[in-house]
Amino acid sequence: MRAKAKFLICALLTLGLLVPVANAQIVHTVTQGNEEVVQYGLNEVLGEVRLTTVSGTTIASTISITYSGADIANLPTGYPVIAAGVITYPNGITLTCTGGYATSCNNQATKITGSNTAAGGQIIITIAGSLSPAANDLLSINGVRADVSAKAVAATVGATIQSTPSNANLFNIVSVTVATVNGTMTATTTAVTTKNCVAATNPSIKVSEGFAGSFVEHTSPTANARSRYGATLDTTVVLAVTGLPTGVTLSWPTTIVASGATASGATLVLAAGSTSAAATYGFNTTDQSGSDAVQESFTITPVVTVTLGSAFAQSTITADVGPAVATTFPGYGAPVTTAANFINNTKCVTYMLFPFVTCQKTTGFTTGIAIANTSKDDAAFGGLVTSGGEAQSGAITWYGYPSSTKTADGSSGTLGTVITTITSASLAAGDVSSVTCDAQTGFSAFEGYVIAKADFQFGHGFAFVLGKYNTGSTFDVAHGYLALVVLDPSVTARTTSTGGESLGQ
Amino acid sequence: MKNKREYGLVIGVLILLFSGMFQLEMAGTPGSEIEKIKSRVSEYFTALHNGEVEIARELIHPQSRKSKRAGQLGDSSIIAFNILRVDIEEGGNSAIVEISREALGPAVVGRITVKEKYRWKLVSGEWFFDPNDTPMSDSLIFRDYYHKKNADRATAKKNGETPIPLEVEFDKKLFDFGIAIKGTSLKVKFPFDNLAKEKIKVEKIFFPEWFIKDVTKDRNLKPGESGEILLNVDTSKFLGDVRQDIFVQFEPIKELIKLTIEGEVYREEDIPDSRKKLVRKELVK
Repeated sequence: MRAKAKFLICALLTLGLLVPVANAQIVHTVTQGNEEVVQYGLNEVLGEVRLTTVSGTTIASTISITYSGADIANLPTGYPVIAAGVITYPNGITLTCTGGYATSCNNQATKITGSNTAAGGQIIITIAGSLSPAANDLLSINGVRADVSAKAVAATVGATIQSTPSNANLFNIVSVTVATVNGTMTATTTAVTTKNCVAATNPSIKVSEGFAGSFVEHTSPTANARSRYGATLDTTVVLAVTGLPTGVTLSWPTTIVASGATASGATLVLAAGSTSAAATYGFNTTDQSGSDAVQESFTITPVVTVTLGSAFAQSTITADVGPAVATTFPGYGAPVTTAANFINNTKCVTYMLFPFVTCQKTTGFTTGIAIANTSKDDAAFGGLVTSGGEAQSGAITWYGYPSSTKTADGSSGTLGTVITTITSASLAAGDVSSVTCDAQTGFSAFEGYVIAKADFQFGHGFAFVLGKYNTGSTFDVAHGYLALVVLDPSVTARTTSTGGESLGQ
Repeated sequence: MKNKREYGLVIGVLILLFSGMFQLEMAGTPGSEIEKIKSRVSEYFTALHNGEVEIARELIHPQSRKSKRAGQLGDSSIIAFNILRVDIEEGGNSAIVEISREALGPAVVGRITVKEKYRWKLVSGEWFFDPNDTPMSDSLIFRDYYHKKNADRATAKKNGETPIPLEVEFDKKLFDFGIAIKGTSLKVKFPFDNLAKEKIKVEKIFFPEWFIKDVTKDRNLKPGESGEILLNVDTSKFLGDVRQDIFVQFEPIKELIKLTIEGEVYREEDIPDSRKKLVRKELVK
């Protein structure tokens, strides 16, 4: 009997306590924004997390939102600005409280704190007790920025929602995706080969947003600006040219309008302090929403100037999105593009064709070859200014194409491989190189045609075929001819109608 | 008196050393033989140049003096000559002399430098030119060993026949040194295997001596042995692309193999960072 009475008392006590607890529980519907974030971003804005009230009364509790594997770059610190239920922290994170939560937020009984844990960045909402929010009143977190620089494209950032005590808040879902990583920017390059003696063609680099919302102007868009959430800078495009040879300079255009197909009124504007080898462009738009609706691309074509005395080298270009800082927003880490060839500055050359050269293939017959470097012409033409030339020196390399032994019907037999030799390391302007071919490495017993490449302009060649026809003579057969100057195929392709075979000589 | 005798002995020994005895000893060395040959060759061509045909004829091998070839030697417009190389052949009784002759060619080209090889023979302690036993000239070596042999091989292959087997196999015939900093000297290596059933010798390497130096160590290889052609390439004279063929002559298998060296030479300050990885530091001597 006594035991029964104890049980009854316990049961009554338990019911008496539980009824008020069940009334204080809040049931939330969790929704979120899955924000596209920029790969390599050091502080990208993650999607909003919203807790919409279904029913109930609050008890003093905390709700933690853990951003898995992503540290928060703008933890809520300092004195927030509070206005009409919206608490905005100096680093950009906001807590929005509506309806029954608003007053509590205004007096900071309901507030947020944050920290980075081993599991990821965490925002903790402290909820005051005894609040009675109506259905659809909400608490929402915006402006959380996280480092996603180590994540690949298509990787996601998840948020996990938990309550302490666990029975204070009920959620329809506790794990949501708040961000998906998307490409930052792509760059394609149109490289050029320039020559030190002719007007240069210009290379170009086309940079395109990785997705429509990759580029942003925070500072002064004319219309429809994005919420800054602590941002103080705009997206920049940073171009770096490496290995630009001495004597080659680039003049970067000051404004680039987005390409026609993706026109949105957006431009890239050259920043002050840009140099030949390093150009920075800031993203400008008249309407950020409009820009966020299209994937913009920009083709940047610098004007190249090459001096005759320039050095010869291949330069490369990289294009990165900026600014490359973590302490101001936005900021980007790893490089976006690997180096691509941009300008290859090469020598001006003269190609001379010697259609028949024999070098002791028949004993006693050889060919003398003379090549003149006539780029020194000041006395003849009245000075470099009037002649438009400049003294150049350079090597001479022969490419010998041996003729085959013909078949009975005159058809070609087996052709030999090309023989290459350098006959002069450097022939100065105003000088003539004259050699006999059989004395050149590999040209003993050679017979065929030779294309001589001289690393200077205005080269001219003369060949003299000599032979011992009569027994006992030294040379008694001789014939000379001028070499044909073949237009440099890298300037005028041999396949064009006005190309290398229109010798005009 | 005793001192006088000692002085006399010393002077006598010195006289002997610096006269006949010393000369006899030196005569046995290859260096002095080469000098003797050079002296005879100079004498011969000087006589030709002066039109002293009879003096020149005295320097021709006794058995060849009456030959037709000996008779042709006087008809020459040689204006200068230079002894490039003297190689005493095995046994020491003959030597190959390579000379360059400058002849007057017609008109523009003017002076023509012609390289020629002659064989000189030792007869009763004196060296004589033998016009009837001329060594293979470079042009003949290139014609027979390289052009003809390669054409024959290609033709056989084209006709579905078995080509003459190549008895030396190089790992690769193109050595691309990538990018070199102007002024550096590069170590270039072409490894190869002797596939012949006999000993082979790297007889000669043809290359431009003004920027390539032959530093090949082992020139004789037994069957199945591996060797390497070692060259030093001086880049100080170039800027930009460099491409040069060299030719390696193997005996007695009569092969002439073409190898190619190529790359780019730039001043260090003109090489972009992205291409610096192409500078092969391990090649720099």
